[in-house]
Amino acid sequence: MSRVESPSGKQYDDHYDDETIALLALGEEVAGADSEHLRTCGACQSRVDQLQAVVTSARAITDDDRPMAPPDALWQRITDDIDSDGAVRAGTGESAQPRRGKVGWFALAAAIGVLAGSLGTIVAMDRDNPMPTIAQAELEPLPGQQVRGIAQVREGASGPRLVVDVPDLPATDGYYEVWMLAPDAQSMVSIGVLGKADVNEFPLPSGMDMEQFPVVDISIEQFDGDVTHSADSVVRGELTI
Amino acid sequence: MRGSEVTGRELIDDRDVGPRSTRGESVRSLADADIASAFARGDSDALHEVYTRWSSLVYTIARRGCGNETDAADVTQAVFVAAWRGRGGFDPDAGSLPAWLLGITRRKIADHWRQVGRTPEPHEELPEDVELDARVETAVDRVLLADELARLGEPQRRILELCFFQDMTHAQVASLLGLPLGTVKSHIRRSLGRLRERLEVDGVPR
Repeated sequence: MSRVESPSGKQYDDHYDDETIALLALGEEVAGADSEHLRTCGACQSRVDQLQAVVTSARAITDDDRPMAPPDALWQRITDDIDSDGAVRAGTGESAQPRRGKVGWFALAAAIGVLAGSLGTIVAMDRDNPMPTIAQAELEPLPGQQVRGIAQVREGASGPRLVVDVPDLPATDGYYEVWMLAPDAQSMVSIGVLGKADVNEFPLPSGMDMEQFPVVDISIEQFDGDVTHSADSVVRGELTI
Repeated sequence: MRGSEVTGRELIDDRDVGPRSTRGESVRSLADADIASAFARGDSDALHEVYTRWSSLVYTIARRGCGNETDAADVTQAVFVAAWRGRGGFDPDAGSLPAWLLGITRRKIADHWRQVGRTPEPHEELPEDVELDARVETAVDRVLLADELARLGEPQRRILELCFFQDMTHAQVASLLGLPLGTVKSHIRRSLGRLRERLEVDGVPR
């Protein structure tokens, strides 16, 4: 695209950045974002239009649009219907009866892992490289923090890997580092530096003992040359197998 | 930091792709994909998990499409029974399981109106000058967006709600919440991207 001159006379030779596009889609007036550029740049106009459609739909949301659970009795009606034609063959040998509370996710994940290993059909991070989940931790915010996340230990082809999903970490002057701590948080192993993506994946050192270091921790580190933990943690959670 | 040689960073940075970002690869979505695979194989535990995760979406869209809760429950029942019996037709590689379920939901809502032998009346709180399909598509979009809004963490959710429903500018939101302008802008960008992606992943008719 050709160079565009902004009202300030400053030259730039690229499209609007994503933040400008988002604000324009919300109907805001953005300093330096003149309508002239949108008139001449189909790419930017199209990006605004796409987001604007989302904004328009979202602004029309009413209370009736907020997801609401169906009546409690409905699950029973569904299983009765299904049982009547004998279509249920539970993987575990039991029929699909209603359960209170959550399905045992770890048992299910383990079962899927076994099946995936034998059938190789699982859809995972890498379709050619199934990575069954071995353990999982809910990462809870430490006092004064707001972000949450999930950490999973997955069995990769070349050994266990730690997958960390912590969206929306606030910007920092330093960087985020992932650790696995002993329960008393007195000894720890550095796992790596968090990249910019929401989901980060790290190979775990071979011989890593998850029982000795079961707590996943993410800290803010400064570029101070100090390799030890800053004691400034953002989220933390214990792995459960 | 200690032990920099064990970092996996070089393996991951290529996945930082902006607003479309990594939602499709997030741990939550992976878990969804695992459930979808187990469902496709006929694991009835997975059926219960599918129902737990997505029955509210189906039911709420059915309620919007049918105009009342009794018919919405009937449609929801029909959707999950049909999904289970027709699970062989679900291809995890062709799209998300919720997108597939919502495709069945659209058809069951149309069946409902066919069975009662008429199209919705204006007084059934559905705008009279719009085709049924368009009404259902509107409902799908809004319900998915309401659901994704509810899944946003704080302060992202509050920021978007102020922008959407109070018509505040990002500067007003920043001032109200005591957050830096750049932080608010960044949250708006990422959150809008998440909403758009939700529609793209789960809202596309299948």
